[in-house]
Amino acid sequence: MIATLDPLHPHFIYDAKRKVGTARGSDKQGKEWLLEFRERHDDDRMTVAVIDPQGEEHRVTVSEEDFTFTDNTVRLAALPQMRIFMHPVYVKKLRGFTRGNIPTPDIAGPSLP
Amino acid sequence: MSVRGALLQSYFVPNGSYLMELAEDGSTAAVVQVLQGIGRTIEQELKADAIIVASPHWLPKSGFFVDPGAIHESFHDYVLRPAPFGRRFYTHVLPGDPALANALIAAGEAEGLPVRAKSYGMDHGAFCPLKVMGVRLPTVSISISQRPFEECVRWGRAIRKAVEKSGRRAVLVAPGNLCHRLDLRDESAREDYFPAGKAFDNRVIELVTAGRSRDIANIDRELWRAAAPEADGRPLFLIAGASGNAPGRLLQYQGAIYSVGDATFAFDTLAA
Repeated sequence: MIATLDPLHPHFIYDAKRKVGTARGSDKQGKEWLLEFRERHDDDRMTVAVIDPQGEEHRVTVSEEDFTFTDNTVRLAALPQMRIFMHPVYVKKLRGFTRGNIPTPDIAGPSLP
Repeated sequence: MSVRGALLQSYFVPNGSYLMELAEDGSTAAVVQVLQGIGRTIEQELKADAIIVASPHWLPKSGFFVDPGAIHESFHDYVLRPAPFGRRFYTHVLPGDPALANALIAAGEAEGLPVRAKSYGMDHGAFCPLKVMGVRLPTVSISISQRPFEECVRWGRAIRKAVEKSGRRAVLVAPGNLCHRLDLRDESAREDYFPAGKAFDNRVIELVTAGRSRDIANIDRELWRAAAPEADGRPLFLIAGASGNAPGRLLQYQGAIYSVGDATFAFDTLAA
């Protein structure tokens, strides 16, 4: 599985209107998973909605240590069935987000973060 | 005998990814030229041996974080072309200064602040201005964080103490924009600037150049909300603590793309 860097279809975006980061990646079968980072809590844990290829939503509250990143894959301890491929540029962007980065928004809002 | 270090200067600078494109294209815009001049000052005049950079895009909530890595690699955290407002892809790598990083953590803890180590690298809020400056010095990447203003001031004081104890000749770079309404941006607006943004920027410039940076906390909340300063203005509180409330020298200012206040200030370090 090789993810390509397609700036028209970024694998991670930040919506400053909703204050939500969204990552998308493909599993080995080429099926798409979505991760919506809906809230960062005061202890830096994050509420994430993981939407699997069947459309089922798995809501988890996790910390950055719960993620495992390689050059082009992302795993989440709370959902061992999820192993998704993303372009390395976006893997790093997502990893930074889990560690407290607020990127320049793809969808601008009246404040950042 | 240990050599006493010094915080030589602090800088508040813009960090928009567009600056890297302007620099790469050889722009003569003041915003770029001033950054490049700061780079020369840091390396050739101040002869600094370390830079501490506090990204306004590193915004955890639980504490202040310091990356003690020996190398800092950038990661991309801005929109890429061809999207509207997208920019070219850039990377940057700088050596770290693990000893200074650990000294900062120890000083923050001694101050009773929630300061911890974290492997992070550099987002564009840190690497963009340093890349445009052209500096290659050992660098410590730290977070701005979403902490109360007075904690940011104390963190700035702790940073200065750590630098002085470390023997380093260091510079603090805390990037940010004044008004930061990216939702209103308009690249075709060369002369126009959002009126509330201009009013806010003028007030901040007045206070910062008078050595009253911490008084920006008293700016009318409606005006504050309308301007939505980057990282909620925290870089200026960090610098106030580190510099001993020094007045900022305004090196350049422009209201850009209708929505963003690009100001560059330099601060001496006042005697404690």
